[in-house]
Amino acid sequence: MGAKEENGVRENILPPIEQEISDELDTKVKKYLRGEGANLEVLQDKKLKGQLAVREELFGKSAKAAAKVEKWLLPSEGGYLEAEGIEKTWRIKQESIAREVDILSSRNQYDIVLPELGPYTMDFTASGRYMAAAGRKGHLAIVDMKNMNLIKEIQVRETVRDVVFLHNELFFAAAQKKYPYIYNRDGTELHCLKEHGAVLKLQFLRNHFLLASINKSGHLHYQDVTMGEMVGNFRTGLGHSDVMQVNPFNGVIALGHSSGTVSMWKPTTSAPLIKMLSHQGPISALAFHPNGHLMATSGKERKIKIWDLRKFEVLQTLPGHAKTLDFSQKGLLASGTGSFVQIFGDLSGSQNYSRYMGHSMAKGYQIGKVLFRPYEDVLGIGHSTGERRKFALFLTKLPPETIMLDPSKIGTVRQARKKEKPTKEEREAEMEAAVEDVKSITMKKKTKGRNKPSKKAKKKQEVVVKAKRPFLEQQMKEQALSKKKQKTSEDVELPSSLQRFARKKTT
Amino acid sequence: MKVKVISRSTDEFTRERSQDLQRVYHNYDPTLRPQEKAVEYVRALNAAKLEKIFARPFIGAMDGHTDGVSCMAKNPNYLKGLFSGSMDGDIRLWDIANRKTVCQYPGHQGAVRGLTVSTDGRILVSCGTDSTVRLWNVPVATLTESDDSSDNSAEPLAVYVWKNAFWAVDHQWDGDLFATSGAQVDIWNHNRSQPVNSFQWGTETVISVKFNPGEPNVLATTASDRSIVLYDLRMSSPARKVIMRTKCNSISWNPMEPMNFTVANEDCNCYSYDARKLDEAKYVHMGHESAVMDIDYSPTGREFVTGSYDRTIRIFQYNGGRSREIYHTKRMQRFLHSLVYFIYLISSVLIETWFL
Repeated sequence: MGAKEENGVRENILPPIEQEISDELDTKVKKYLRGEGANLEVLQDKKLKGQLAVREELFGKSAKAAAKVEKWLLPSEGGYLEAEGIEKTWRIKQESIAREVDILSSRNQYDIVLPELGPYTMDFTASGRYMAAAGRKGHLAIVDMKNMNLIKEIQVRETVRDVVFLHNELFFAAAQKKYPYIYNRDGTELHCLKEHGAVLKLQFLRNHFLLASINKSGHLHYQDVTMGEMVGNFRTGLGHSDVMQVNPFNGVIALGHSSGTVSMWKPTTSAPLIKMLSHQGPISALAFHPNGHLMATSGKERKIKIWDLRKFEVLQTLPGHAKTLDFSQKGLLASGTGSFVQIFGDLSGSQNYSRYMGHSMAKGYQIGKVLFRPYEDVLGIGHSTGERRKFALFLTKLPPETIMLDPSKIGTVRQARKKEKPTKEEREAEMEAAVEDVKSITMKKKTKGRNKPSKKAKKKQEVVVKAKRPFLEQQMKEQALSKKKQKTSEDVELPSSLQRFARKKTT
Repeated sequence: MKVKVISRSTDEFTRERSQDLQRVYHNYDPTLRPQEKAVEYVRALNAAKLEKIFARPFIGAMDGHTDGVSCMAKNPNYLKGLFSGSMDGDIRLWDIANRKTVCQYPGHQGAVRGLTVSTDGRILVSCGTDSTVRLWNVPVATLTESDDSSDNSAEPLAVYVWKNAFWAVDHQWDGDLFATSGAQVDIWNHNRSQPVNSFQWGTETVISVKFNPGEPNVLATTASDRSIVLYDLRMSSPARKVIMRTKCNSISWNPMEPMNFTVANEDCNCYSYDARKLDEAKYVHMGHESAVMDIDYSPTGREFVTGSYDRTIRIFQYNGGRSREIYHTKRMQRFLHSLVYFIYLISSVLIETWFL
């Protein structure tokens, strides 16, 4: 007994350093385990249980492997800002941060002054390497963010409302005064998308190669940029909307309307998936958390709301107005209004957002858009883009049907919708049980003269008939239905030209 | 104040010398790759499609016949040899490996309807609509290897004229006899100008005939009165008969389990029977969308190939209800007259011949 205990203890105790490493690994593994494992305890089927147990073990192993190689393939960690003493993080000035960090990082703080053609809107490529900027007065530019080189700039001499990169940095689309246009990196106009009309906002679904746009008359268009096919064209019918954002988690597009409604759309249905009245006033900005569970909206009534998209409930309401909102890959929320930028963070990890950083620009600046640059708070810059890679990208183009509110549904078996009809035996058994129930009820003793056995028997029979009636009625109804069906099918059998020769049935 | 900022300098991420190994960075965080399941699903689907595209079951067409090819036979003794007969009476011997005509026979006056080779691979028997059976000498394998024999023509060993046109012919395994079918089933000897024996059951035309690979005296036929009939040469009359709903176009014995045979039926299905128990089919092989025109077993007996009026060729497992493989190309014609199954080493190769 004692020896056994000793053994158990020996297994559990690890040298302190190894213990620390394994603890650290456990927290990392959690990230790669996509959700909770299946609960095998409740399963009756032993075979299924065994199969699932093997599966679960494999999942665990792969998550562990991913966590282990993180050390080698992902050596750097995200940055942070911590206050000491009575300092508050949101009071720390950008200038003082620049003084503290190394020269290389301080170079990341830049201010490109383009005073004449703004306000500007912008977009980053998936890797964060290139930025497209569009000035309201017709200035389009592509910048390599690594060395801050201007790759191309053009002046289109009309209003530009939005700009997005297509699947890579070689193509971008700009929403201009009358129509959206697609340009290549050299600034050559490739396409004019007249069907979209006067577009207010553009979004690109990278996995599906769909360009989505919302125009002045409230039409939502989805166009496949590989074949040029118009996949969807829907009238929203919910009023003016100049707020559009793709949920990166599932590819669903959210529109913010002037009525305070947020509607969510997918390209295969003409009605919105979700309509939610989220603000009293018009919606001014909208952003999605990269994990797909959180949405931030801001209304003109000076409120910023954070929503849980699994329950469609408000988690938190923050005061303040935001003209533009954006979530970073690590989950920080930036809001911009006037000349003031504020960053909220859930420092406790409990989805409770509070003020994290703030920055106010020189008076007179109007913020057009705030956007986090991808991978600048985590590592992972993609490189090497050749012809082959491009082709591989097209091979994983997802069909528009894969856009749905819960993308984890793909690859699962759809459950039978209707409960199957009870068989004849089952129904008979049910009827018998009902009859037995009725029979077992003991009758009350009645007053003299009314307590005759014959009367009792009669009463009992009546009750049995009453219990049987609903079952029999149901049966009759079904029989009549099937007879009707048979009749119609018999009629159909003869071709119409021959029906006049058929013998008339006596009815 | 404590600040940490990601700072990546280009020096850290570029190699100093070209011999240095390139460092690989990868972030496996699932939130960076949304819609993983859909992506994996589409990838798997595309992989399956690409595999089909690049499968290339079609190896080559052998050009030479001026009219439609009506029948084919393989040389049991020589793997590369394939005989084909056409509607204009031409008979050719092909070298499959080089895809060349090795030998061209003068052939028949009308269409050639049946070809078969004796088990030793020496004699080719052909029959046709001109009511003749002709025996041909098959050139020796070493002779066919030489290049100059491409239009080597040969005179028939024998020509036997008979009363009616023929539909099919098949040679006995390990024996001197062969059977022809037409108005009746005739059993012939190599050396006699008249049939040794004749069988008849009803007045209908017999479409196809096949000898049993295990039992040399047993043969099976299908006829246009929808029947499958089994014959035993040791008896004076046919042995057993099954009548089906629709006509059987062709019949093939399983070479490894010689008691089983499969018929290609007009009702889009193939039926496998046990010859000892004809009251019900052992397997029904479904899949074709139109009448099945011809059938042939692989030498291993594990699978067979069928050709159909719906312009497809399918490969079935000997016990499988559904086809394992479907081949279809634009050039395939509806009237597929003949199919032969070849096996080279470990890979199974299918040679189709249609209107060339």
